[in-house]
Amino acid sequence: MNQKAISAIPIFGVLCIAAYFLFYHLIETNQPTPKKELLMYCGITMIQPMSEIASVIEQRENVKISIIKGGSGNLLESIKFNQIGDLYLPGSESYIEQSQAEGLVSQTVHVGYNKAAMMVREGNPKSIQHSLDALKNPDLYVVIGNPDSGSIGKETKKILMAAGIFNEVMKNAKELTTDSKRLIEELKNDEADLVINWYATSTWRENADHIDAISIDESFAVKKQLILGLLTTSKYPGIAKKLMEYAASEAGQRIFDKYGLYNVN
Amino acid sequence: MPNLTEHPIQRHIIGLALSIIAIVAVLIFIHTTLREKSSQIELQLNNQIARQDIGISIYQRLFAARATVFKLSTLDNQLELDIVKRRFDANLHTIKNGLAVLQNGGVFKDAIATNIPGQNIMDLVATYKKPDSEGYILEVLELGPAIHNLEKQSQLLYQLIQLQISTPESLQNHVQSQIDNLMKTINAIQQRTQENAARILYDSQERISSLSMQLKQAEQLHDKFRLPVVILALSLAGYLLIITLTRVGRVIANRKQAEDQLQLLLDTTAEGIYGIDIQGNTTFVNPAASRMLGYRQDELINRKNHELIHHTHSDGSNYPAAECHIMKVLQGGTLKTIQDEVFWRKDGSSFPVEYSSSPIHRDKKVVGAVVSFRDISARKHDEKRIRTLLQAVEQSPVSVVMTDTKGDIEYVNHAFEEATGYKASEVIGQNPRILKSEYTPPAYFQDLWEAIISGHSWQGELQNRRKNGTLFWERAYIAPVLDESGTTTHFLAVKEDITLQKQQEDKIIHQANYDSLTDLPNRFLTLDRLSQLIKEAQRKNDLAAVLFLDLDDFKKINDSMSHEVGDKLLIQAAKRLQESVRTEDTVSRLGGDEFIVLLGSLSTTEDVYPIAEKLLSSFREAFLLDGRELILTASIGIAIYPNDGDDPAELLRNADTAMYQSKEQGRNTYNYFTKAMNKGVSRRLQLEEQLHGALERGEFELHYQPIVDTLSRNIVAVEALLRWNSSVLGEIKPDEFIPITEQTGQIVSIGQYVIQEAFSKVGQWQNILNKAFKIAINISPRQFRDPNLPQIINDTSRHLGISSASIELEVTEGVLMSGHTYIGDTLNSLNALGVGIAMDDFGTGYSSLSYLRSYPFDTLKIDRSFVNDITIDPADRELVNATIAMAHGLGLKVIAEGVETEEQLLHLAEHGCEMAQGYLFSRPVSAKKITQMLERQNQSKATSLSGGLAY
Repeated sequence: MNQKAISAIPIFGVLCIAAYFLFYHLIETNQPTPKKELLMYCGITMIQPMSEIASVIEQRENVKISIIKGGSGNLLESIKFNQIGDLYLPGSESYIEQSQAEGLVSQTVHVGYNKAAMMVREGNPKSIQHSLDALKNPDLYVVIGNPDSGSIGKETKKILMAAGIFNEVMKNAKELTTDSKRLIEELKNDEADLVINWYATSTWRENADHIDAISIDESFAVKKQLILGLLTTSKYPGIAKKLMEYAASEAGQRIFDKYGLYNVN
Repeated sequence: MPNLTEHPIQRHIIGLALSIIAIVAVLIFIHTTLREKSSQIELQLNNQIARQDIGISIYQRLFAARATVFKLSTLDNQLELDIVKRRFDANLHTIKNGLAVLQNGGVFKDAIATNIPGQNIMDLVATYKKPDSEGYILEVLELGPAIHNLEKQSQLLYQLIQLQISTPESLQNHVQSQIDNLMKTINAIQQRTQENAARILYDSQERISSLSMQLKQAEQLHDKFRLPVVILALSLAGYLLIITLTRVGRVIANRKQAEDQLQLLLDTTAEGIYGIDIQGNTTFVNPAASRMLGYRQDELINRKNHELIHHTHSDGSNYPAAECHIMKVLQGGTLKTIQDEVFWRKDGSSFPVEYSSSPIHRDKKVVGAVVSFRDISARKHDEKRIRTLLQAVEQSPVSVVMTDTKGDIEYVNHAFEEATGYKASEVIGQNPRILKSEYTPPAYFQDLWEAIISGHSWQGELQNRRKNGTLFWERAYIAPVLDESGTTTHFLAVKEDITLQKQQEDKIIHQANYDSLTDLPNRFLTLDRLSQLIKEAQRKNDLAAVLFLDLDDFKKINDSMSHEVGDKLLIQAAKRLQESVRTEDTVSRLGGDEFIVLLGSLSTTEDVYPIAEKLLSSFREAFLLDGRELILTASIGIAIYPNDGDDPAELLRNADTAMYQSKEQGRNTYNYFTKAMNKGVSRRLQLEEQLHGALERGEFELHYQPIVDTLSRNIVAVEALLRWNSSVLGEIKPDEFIPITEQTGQIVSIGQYVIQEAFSKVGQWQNILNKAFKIAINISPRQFRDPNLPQIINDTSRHLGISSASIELEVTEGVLMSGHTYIGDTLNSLNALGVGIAMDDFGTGYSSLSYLRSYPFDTLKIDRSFVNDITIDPADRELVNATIAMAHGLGLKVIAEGVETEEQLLHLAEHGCEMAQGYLFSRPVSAKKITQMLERQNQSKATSLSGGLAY
């Protein structure tokens, strides 16, 4: 073996080790490539089906979809404040109408239904009557949604106004919450005896074992359409429309149905 | 750069340095890469910690704001209200700052109250850099509107409280109700806002945890591999260092060894070596130079070298230093090897030298020279001797060729050029195969090369081709030329032109194998080729044929037309035979008029038919010799291998036998050999054997068949018929032994016996009858060719005192058909003696009337085949009648042979046939019986015999 070979062998060995570490390093620190990102404002009640639908579109279109969840009214306020975003799905159609009136939403699509119900803890330990009048009972810890911050608050107000007991219930309510999630938490934490919330939340797996729903007469609580709106601020309206189409399709309706938001009856 | 690496040590050190630099570079790269990764993770971690700090601050500020809102609801004076309101606004302001930093990055500062002694406020400074990959910052998007809403609601609350303070107490309840509802709303907003702020804390905590883990892993990775890599790198560097040191040490050792060897070389070399400086002074001298020059080393050192040892030319003329080649090298002259000068010894004698001078350079300047020389006295002597030898070789009468071990020619002498026509310049570098002809088989050359490559000489004869294309023979002696170590360095070929000798040898061989007259293969070569033909047939499992061909009656031509004509005929016949067979077939001449045709590659015996027919037909056209046309026929005997024998001699013998069969069948035909022929031959050999001496042993006897007058039925003559009663074989028929005696020539002596015996008997019987009586004797063609026949008859006649007219010689047409002139002469001579001549067996041959007219016949004998059916077959009857009439017309008497019935006799008598013989009268009987018959006839008809024989 000549001198060149003797010198080349260790150099080659070291270079191999270096190459190993180099590639190892590159693999480990590989940063995700920035890609298109859509922003969706979604009412709490619809967060689960919309997250599933968003995952489908993310894979199909190779995009990232970020979701801001909260009370529908708060979300509308956020849209106004932020002036960014692509999609808006409130729990109440009135928010869509409002946003359309204010020029925030350009297109809409019907994706499901929602309906309010009274909810008590599992087994109705306080033996609460199937009547809206129970909300006026000062012996019960009643929590209702804030009519200004969320769709359930707005729907609650409608129901109570229809029953003519809104002011009495507001007075009797120990707390006002922002959204349906908070209402569920109040019950599950034994902080409330009676709430009005969207019926769908009582069917969710994490809630079904803790909560019983008490239906409200149809004359007070009507079936509400869930309308998904395309925001005029959308940076990617094409992709947003594809999400809307998918949500309105049979596949999308199956997803909504799975979470109690289509066949509400 | 090339200069730097000229020395091996330099090359080793540079190689080592480069290798270590490479290793260090790789290590730095690895370290930097790993460290950079850790740094990146650490940076992200710090950023998340800053984010967490901002989240904590926001959360705390929200908590404080919530407290101020609660405080607001309990206030009842304007001063306190304003203070709490400013506190609330300050909290919101800080929160907004935090959100702005989270949104855009930057430095966030906050003063947080603590309970640490001596430190009431902790200054929080968080530097947050928004990640490039970050998209929407949800907490900002959620918190921003919430804070805005909170600010709006709190402003409303502030106004309600102000209203309540300024409102009469009676109206305060309504305002208070509005404040309560607004408080619930604000609480809900704050609660939600705090949850969102907590989300910042939660998310940042998650990321901190994840990044801490990544940082830990990166550092672990770095720690895990750092030590092995360093160890490996150090090992490699150490390895390279050891290798380099080892090699450098080896180079130094080699240099020392080389120097020692150089010194040893100088001391021990047979060449004289000395050095001179730029002035020509001797700087060193090796022992050999000192010894050759006769000077001690110290007598040469520092002295002008040219003046000491190189001052005079060999012819005694002065050799100026300015012209000296060595001195010219010092002046920048080119290196030369000089062979024609002399050096001078201390004792004044000179010797021829071969020297070369090499300049010594230092800093690109010539500072001296090294001269190496050798005493070439012996070489000069050797050169002279070599020149002499070379001239001898060059002028040698035989070709001399020298090649290298690959066979490429290095030298040829003049004789080679003469023999081959090639100039030396044309063949130098060529292979001797340029002389090769296609007639020397490759195996021959293989033997040659095997011999000389294995170190042995080879001799043999080669048929080569000259430059002009003609062939010539050489007897070559080729041997390897070995050097002192016994290694073959060249091959030497000495070659003699033997073309003339080969031509003479070929001629002798040709003469030994070929017939000089026809140039056909002779018996010797024929037997050899027949042997080869048999072997080939054995190998190919087919048939071969031997055709034994004998020219019919060639001897007569030879005898009658001279041997020269016969030779010409043989030459033409040989040519026709050759033209009648295939090129691969052999036509040879055994001798005389006997030819042999050898045919090979036959499938069946029938394959010979067309060839035999062709051979015979080739003779149908007349031969033109000296202006005369001659008709010649041939008889052919065919023997087939393996049916008729499996060795040449047997096949030839059997073909000969078959040829005789053809001869016996009338010639001009061919016959296949059969076993029966062999039996015939055997019988013939027995007969020949017994015939030898049979005459002397008295085994021959004449029987006689009476010839009677057709009218009187008296015996008027007898036909003598020879009988052989062999003591060994018993009674032999004439048909069997007469041909043999004709062929062997015994017929002549037997004929003489017959003539003597006939004369003797006819004398007795003439005495009994007391009148003329004839005896007919059959004469064979062979006897007729005997020119002494008339003389013998004459002598016998005289010796016994019996008239020649007492005998009648019977000849057949065959005797006459040969056409020889001596036949007519013999017949005329016999006729002159009074001997009667009878045409025997008339009707069986050509029945030529011209013969009857041309020759002096007395009697015509009608063959028995016609007589047999004259009473049955009208055609025969008419033929016989016509023959009798024709004979009478020519003046001939007629004898009918084979008469067996009275009817035949009556018919013959009626038509004038004078005489008859046959079983009707008597079989051939002994002389004694004839005597008795004649005596009885004489007694019974003594008185009536007045007519007697008419002849």
